[in-house]
Amino acid sequence: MDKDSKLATLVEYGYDPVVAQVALEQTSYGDLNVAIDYIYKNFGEGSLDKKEVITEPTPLTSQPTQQLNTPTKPKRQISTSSSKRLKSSITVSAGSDDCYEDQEDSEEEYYQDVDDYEFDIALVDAFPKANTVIQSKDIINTALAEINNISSITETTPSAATLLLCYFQWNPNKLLERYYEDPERVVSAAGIKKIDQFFTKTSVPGQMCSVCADDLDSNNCSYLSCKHYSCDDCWNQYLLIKLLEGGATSIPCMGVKCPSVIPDEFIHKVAPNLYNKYLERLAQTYVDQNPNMRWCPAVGCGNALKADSQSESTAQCSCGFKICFRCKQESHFPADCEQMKNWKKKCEDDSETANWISSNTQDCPKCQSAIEKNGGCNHMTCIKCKHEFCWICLGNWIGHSNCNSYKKEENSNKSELKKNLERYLFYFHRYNTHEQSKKFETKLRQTAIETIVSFQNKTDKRWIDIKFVETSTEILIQCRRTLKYTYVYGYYMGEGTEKNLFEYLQNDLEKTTEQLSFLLSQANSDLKIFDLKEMTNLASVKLKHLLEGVEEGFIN
Amino acid sequence: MAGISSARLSEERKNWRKDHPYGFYARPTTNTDGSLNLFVWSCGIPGKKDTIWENGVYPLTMEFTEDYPSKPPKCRFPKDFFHPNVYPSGTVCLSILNEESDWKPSITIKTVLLGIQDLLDNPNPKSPAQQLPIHLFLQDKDEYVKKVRQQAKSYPLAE
Repeated sequence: MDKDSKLATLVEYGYDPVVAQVALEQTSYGDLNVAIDYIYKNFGEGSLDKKEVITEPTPLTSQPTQQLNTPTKPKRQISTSSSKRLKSSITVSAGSDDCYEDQEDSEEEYYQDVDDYEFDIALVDAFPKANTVIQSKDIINTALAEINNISSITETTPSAATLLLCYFQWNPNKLLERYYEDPERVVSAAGIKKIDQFFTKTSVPGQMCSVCADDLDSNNCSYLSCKHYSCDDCWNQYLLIKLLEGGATSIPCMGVKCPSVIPDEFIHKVAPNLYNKYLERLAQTYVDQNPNMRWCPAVGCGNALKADSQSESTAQCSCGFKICFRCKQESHFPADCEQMKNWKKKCEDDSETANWISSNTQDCPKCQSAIEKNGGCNHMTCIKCKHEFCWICLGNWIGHSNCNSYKKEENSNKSELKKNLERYLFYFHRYNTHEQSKKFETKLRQTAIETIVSFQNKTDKRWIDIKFVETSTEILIQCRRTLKYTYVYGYYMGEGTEKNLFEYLQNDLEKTTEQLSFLLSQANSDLKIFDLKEMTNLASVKLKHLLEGVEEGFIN
Repeated sequence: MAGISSARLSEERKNWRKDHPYGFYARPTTNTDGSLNLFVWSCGIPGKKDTIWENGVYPLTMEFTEDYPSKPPKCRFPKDFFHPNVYPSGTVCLSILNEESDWKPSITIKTVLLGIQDLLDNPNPKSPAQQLPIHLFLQDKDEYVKKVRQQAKSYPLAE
């Protein structure tokens, strides 16, 4: 038996071609049984019914229309031991007729089935991890609570406590530790020397405003203990500008080179209109400076996320957005932060160029440099190698006659550069497609609840079943996000067996995700709860396999 | 808060006439119709004695905006002025003239001019603004001194 026929035999047995290929390679195309053993050892423990014919999932488009018109909804039998099967063989055997049986058997039995249905893995992954979500309106109160806490422990005024906290980046433990070591040094380092004293509406004879040179009287003069006198109007304008600039907490006095920091009570008294702005900025600084906190980057969501420990790498907001704590972007597993940085940069640098080059240039057939045609004539002369060729057929111009007959395009004359661009575009296109899909499906999250409510009214389906739509949506979004970033991961992955397996699992997850997506988009009019449960489970199993593979390596 | 800038600039003008450091000059420019333009001042900064900048009075234009004194004035030497912290356009790079760093509304014209005088002989190599001067300043001191002295001659003391 030669290599190809061995592979063909294994495929015939029902093994996935990629898996079979790997097994054969790893066993140096030896005995078939050795290869099969290899598959069992590495890809699954349980026994595989070798005669089982695994069919590809039915195409999405054909399935629903048929079912919509069928009076008795066919129920799909699924094997609960799917996870025990070979990973690679987890595909829905929807094609074979004997998989269907009448649902009208008994509704009760149907529910029985659903209840007995065991999830192979916990679905917790779809829901928030151990992080606290602080709603946008509560952020300032959280910050103020922390300030009051420090203020009472260190026996300082709240404004001094604010400055202390800012100085220590809102790390109360470090603050207290240093404070007890040497209170005076900490206090002066944080810029709160004597600034607890300030004077408002106090006139100082013979002084004028240091900014607008107006006369000062007891109605408009305010100053800190550093005695840089100014009128309230000038303070207001100065504070407004500083607050708009964003520096909320350590606004220095207006005096030339004066290091005193303006306390918040001073703002409250002198510029009461700006106090809310000040609080807003304080909340901003509170989250920005806190190493354990991040803003939720989702559009229009002002919530803050607080990780319980710094080792936590992802967090999920109550709005559903999942972020990477390290780079503050959307959670991008399996790609790592470094890869994402390179990828983003590449996208910025290359997308435009790449699109332009691929649509506007051809490569010189001789030296492979990209050429833009800037005139109407198709007689081209390469500026680099002086090669003369026809723009249309890329044939040599000398002796060039008829190029109007169709020839199959040979890619061999494409330059390395262009091949690289094509490779990049391939990944980028898929990355982008999943991003787009995810955007649409995120909207499903909002409609999920409506679906649930409308369904409960319309049908006698149970709340717990319909509630499942929510879970499915979460899983779907998670799959989409992961798929999106697998293209970044894949782009940076070296060629080889690992990559073949990775792409196999990726492809597998992609198919299931599309099916799940389809079922959910139909949920409004035709909720197939059983199919949905099955598909959701399948998707989460496949997602888990892929993620595990990335984390632990695909081979062994 | 319209009016603050004009009021403050008048006050600056009054104070300057009352008292200003020796060798300096600073006056608002005149518009074509003969009226005073308080928002553009023409100033002169003498090089400090016993430095390579001595015997020169360096012309500087100060441009104020309506936002003054919340925002700093723009200070400009003539184009291609030879100094490591002056941009090729002539704009001076100095922390007290930077709104985001050390500018304070209470900084007066006098403070600014004295600050720039100080900068002349104490360039800040950490924020270079022009390539040739910073290069010579760090690599070829002799040539740097020669260039500065040459420049001083082209801006002689008045009378």
